[in-house]
Amino acid sequence: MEITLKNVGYRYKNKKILDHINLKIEHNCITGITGEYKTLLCEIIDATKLDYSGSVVVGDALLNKENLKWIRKEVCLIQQNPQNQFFTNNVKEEIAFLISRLAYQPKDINKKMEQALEMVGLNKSYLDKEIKTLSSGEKKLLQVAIGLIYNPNIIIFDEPFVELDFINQRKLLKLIKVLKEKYQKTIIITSNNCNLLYEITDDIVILKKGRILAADNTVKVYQNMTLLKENDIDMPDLIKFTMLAKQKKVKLSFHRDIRDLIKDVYKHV
Amino acid sequence: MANILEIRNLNYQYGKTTIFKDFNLSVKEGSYIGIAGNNTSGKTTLIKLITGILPSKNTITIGYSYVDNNRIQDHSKELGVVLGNNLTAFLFEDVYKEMAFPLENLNKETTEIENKILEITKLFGISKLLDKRTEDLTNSEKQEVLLAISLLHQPKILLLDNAFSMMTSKAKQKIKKALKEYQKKYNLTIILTTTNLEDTLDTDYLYILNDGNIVVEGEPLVVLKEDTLLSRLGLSLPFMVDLSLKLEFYELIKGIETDMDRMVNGLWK
Repeated sequence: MEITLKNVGYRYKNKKILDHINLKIEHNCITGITGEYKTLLCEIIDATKLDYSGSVVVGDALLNKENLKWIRKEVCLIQQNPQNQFFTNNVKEEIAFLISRLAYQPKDINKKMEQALEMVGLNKSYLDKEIKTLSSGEKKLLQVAIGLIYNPNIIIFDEPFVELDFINQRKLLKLIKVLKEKYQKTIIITSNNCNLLYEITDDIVILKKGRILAADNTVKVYQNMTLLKENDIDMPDLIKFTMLAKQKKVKLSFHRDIRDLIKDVYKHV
Repeated sequence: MANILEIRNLNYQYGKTTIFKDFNLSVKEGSYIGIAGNNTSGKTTLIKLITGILPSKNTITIGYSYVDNNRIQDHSKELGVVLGNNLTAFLFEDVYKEMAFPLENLNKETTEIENKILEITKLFGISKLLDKRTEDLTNSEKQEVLLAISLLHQPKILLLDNAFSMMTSKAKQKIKKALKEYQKKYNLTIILTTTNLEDTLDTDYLYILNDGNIVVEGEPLVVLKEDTLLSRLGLSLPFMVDLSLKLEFYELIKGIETDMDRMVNGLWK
């Protein structure tokens, strides 16, 4: 499901915070958002904030107060701090509560609960755990499991990687890829970690001073040296290395995997 | 130099799960140590034990006295704490008020408060943020402000829990440099916990924590050579260390080089 933002602006107490946002987020793509006011943009897309100017179209529907119920089902925002998103103390209660709100009640609730956890790679023993005993990584996965119960078409991850260690980061990256490839979801990720964004996203949106600085294919944007340098945008390490080598007149190419870079370096030394 | 923090035979259980068993750690005054570990290693629990939020039964001493769970206030003056992932902790509308609040609580004079705030914000290069509203800050700026606030009451020990997780790499460099300057001036002891090994490169001494045990310790560059162990524990090597080890394997360079410019200059003279 694609998302189109037309001339979206956001003001707070007469101060322009977002201005002239024209953006198309493609269906079944992973789009990264980086820069200032990422979260605000996400909240506009998932209709948490409605007091903006301009229009947001999700699928075929224009976002407004009348179709809030529908949008809540279609768009799922995974907040940065998991603690803000849980209602209860217990994993089982949390999942059961959300299943109880579904329009069509499943015959076997226990099975449905296990399936929800299984999708994100947590086994059923987690059903008996208390939420506060889970580690940050497990909380993040639980958040995704709960988000997926409604089977939304669009999933927004707000700063998903900040608390996660390497193993959990890999788990989440793998899950995001599966959601895209197997379940044809549209995915939005906000992050300041340009290395991870470079690795996983198809498209990237860079926000600066409330406007869109760049919105294009990730590789294209990150290889646009003049744009990045002039605007002081963090460069992925892999790109930076190739760029420094190019300054030395070494014919190194841009790579997305460190192993390819090493092979290339080996050829040129 | 004397030890400012001593942990002797610390035992801590949560429910049936043992988190620390006979854990020992001593920290010298004025040192900058890093504790890295995955999401279930017990880092945050350790911070909570040191601050006295969790009971440690007379196994932790700060200076010459035990940390007492019932008398947290005794030590709160000596500790500065930044919980980097808790960005909802802001109480006031503008940044200046937010920064003045902890000092007002200590019954400081208005002029003294102002001087202190100006000094710290100047050092960290965030004077511009003082007139901003806390809501308008980006996540990166929020973390910068939180760090500045934690130093206002001149603590002896600074505890940083994932304090750099959302900073842009530019901001991180700036803040880390300022922090080192501050440390030298006031002989501050810094304990940094993180899942990101990149953040620990500039520490004096690094501990790798796993399931409540210290598995490896030493100077960061020595510890980081244990790449297979670290990736098994769920920690990813910083890009430059990873690249160095791989290039060293092909005998293209010797030793670990953390500066990208120097590495490129070394490879292609």
